This record gives sequence, structure tokens and C-alpha cells, in this order.
Amino acid sequence: MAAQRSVLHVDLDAFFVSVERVLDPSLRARPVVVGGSPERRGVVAAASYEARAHGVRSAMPMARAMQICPDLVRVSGSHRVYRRASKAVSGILGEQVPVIEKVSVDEAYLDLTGTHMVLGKPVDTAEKIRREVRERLQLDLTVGVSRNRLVSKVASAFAKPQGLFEVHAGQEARFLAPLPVKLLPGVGPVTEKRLLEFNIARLGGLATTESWFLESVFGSHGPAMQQRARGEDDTPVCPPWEQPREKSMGHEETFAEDTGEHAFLRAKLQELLASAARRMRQKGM
Amino acid sequence: MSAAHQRPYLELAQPDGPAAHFVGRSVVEEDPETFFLTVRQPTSDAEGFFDGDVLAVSSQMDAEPGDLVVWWTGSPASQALARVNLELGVDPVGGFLAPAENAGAPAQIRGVIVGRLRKA
Repeated sequence: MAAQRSVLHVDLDAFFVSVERVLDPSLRARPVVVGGSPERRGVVAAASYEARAHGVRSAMPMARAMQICPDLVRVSGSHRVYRRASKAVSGILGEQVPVIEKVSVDEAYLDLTGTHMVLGKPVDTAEKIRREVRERLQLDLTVGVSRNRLVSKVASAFAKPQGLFEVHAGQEARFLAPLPVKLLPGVGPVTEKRLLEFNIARLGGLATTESWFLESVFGSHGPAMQQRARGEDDTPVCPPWEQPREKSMGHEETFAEDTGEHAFLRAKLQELLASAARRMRQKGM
Repeated sequence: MSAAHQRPYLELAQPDGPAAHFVGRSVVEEDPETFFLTVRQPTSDAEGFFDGDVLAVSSQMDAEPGDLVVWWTGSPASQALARVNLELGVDPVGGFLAPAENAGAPAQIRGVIVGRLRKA
């Protein structure tokens, strides 16, 4: 008999800000953002929970963020430092778990299927990982534990910050049922609006709507979305050696002032394309 | 721990963060609501429950063999944890006692445990 699946979704809490606080403890318990300067039309890349309590959000113009939160502390940040911290976290995860799929600098899926006899209960492994990351790196991790990626991802969002949520085996559909449809990975604002037009506000409603109706409205996407609303997901956790190569690469720049000057824009475009092409050649693409 | 609580008991919890948004009634009445109960366990863990664990409960009386459930006789103080057996009966777990009958009302399932939340 195949072992019951067990998948963890780990998510570092306010990662950029947390790293900055390790480097500068005076930032703790203060509203902090990482991002570009308001004078250069910078935006918020990451916000502490204290800043979020004032309404500051990622992607918000920095000038606006400073307006709504006068005590805000802005840090420019360093992606090189964040990559190193992320690599350190990955190192700790790799000590505990054999199969890891890193999906971003602060998120990963871990597959613990079949490891019960060696590693113990998945929820205990999750606790151990959280403890190790906090003790060794002073960073906080939130973890979702369930039988698949989808439910674990929703569970970790549920448990933030500094939490662990374990969805009991067989209760995936019940766990998801009362949640708003927008929480289902893959349901964006357009799909949400469409679902609400048909009074499908909760995942329980989406799970029990007639499949043919969903297909008539959303095409093949409809039944697939319904399966996910029931907590069904057999997407595997892919370790690095099984992952496809990058599908896109780009460079961007925000100008300090708006411009429509064609010669300038053409020169900038060539510069950005040259940078992207150079990176692609370096990666053998 | 008061003398009244020599055994584990459950109390209504108000978790913070995103989980707090799901406490209370759902928008649609037919949908089950999710509410949270904290385990207060005077002894070390039994069946994997620790003092302070917050259980997410789906308020429905439909349960299947193997499900972990909250059952009661109508009052919050009577809530207890149990597991549904193959005969669709209910067996107390984790050191909890069966809820005492209340004014002739038998114990019945209040909800199914769908998950467990732990905060730092």
C-alpha cells in the first residue's frame, strides 16, 4: 500500500524585514519597510506586520506608505543578503528533509511522504524545522501541514504569522469549505468576480456546484478548480534536479520622472535587453 | 489549575492573524462555520494534544469512522473530544470524559476537528 502523502508548505514571515532586523536589532517592534526611496518613486517591496497594521502593503508607492505611517522606517535592502539568508534556510531544511522544492526566496514545499518511521510525525518535523530556523538564524517560519501542496499552502496562510497549522488527513474539504473563494490558489480577481456573480462565495459552494455548470462558464478550468476546492491535488513536490529551466528572464527600471522621449526610451530598452541577454548567456540559455 | 479542572477541557478561542477572519458565521447559512477551541490539558500530552493547542472545528454533525470530533450536551463547559468508531459510536480520547447528560439531553456531536493551529 502506498504511503499516505505528507507535504509541508514553509513560508518565512516578513522575510526581507526579518533579515534586516537580524542585521539591525534596533528595527524590532517598529514599522519597517524595505524598498526604494520616495524621491525616486520607489515602492514597498516588503512591510513588517507593524507597518501593515497601518495599511502599508507591498507594491504600494513609498511616498504613500510614508504618508499613512509617519513613523515608518525605510531600509533600501540588499537582495544579495536576502539570497544568502534564503540559502542558509534551505541548508537547514535540507538537513531535515530529503525532497524540497523551493518556489521563491521565502517559500518552499517539503515532501515527507514515507518518512514517518525515520523522521517521526510530519507535524513534529515541522516543529523541529521552525525551532532550528529560529534558533540558528533568528528568523520565523510559518508552516502548513497536510496531504498535499494546495491545502498546505492555504493552511500556512491561515497560520501566519509564526504559526503551524496541520490539516488532519481526510478533512481537507471540510477545512476549505467555509473559506472565501479568493483564497484558493489560482483564483484571481477576475475568476472571483465571476464566481460571486453566481453566488459562489465560499469554497464549499464551489466544491458542490454542478460540474457541467462550472465547465460551461470556465471551460476546462472549471472542473479543475472544483477539484482543488475539494482539497484534491496530486501535484508532486519537485526537487531541483526535476525542475524545468527558467522560462523567462527580464530587467526593469523605474524612471524618476515620466518621459515620452523616443530616443531616450530606445536607448534604455537596448540597455535592458543587453543586460537580460548577458544573464541568459551566463546561464547557458 | 482550579479544582474544577482536574481533567482536560476545551474553551472557545479567538486566534489572531488570518485565522481570526474565519471565526463566526459563514456568509451563507447552509455552510458550516469554523470555530476554534483551545485544549487545556492539565497533564502532559495524550493522543498528541498539548495544553494550548487550538483546534479548528467544522460545526457539523456528520462524521465518519475515525473522525476526531467535539461532542457536548449543549453547554460550552460540557464540550469534550472523542473519536468516531466503526459502529458510528463515539469514544472519548485524550483524557476527556464523556459529557454529562444535561436535563435529559444526550451528548451529540457538535463538530468535526479539521485541524490544529499552534502559534509561537
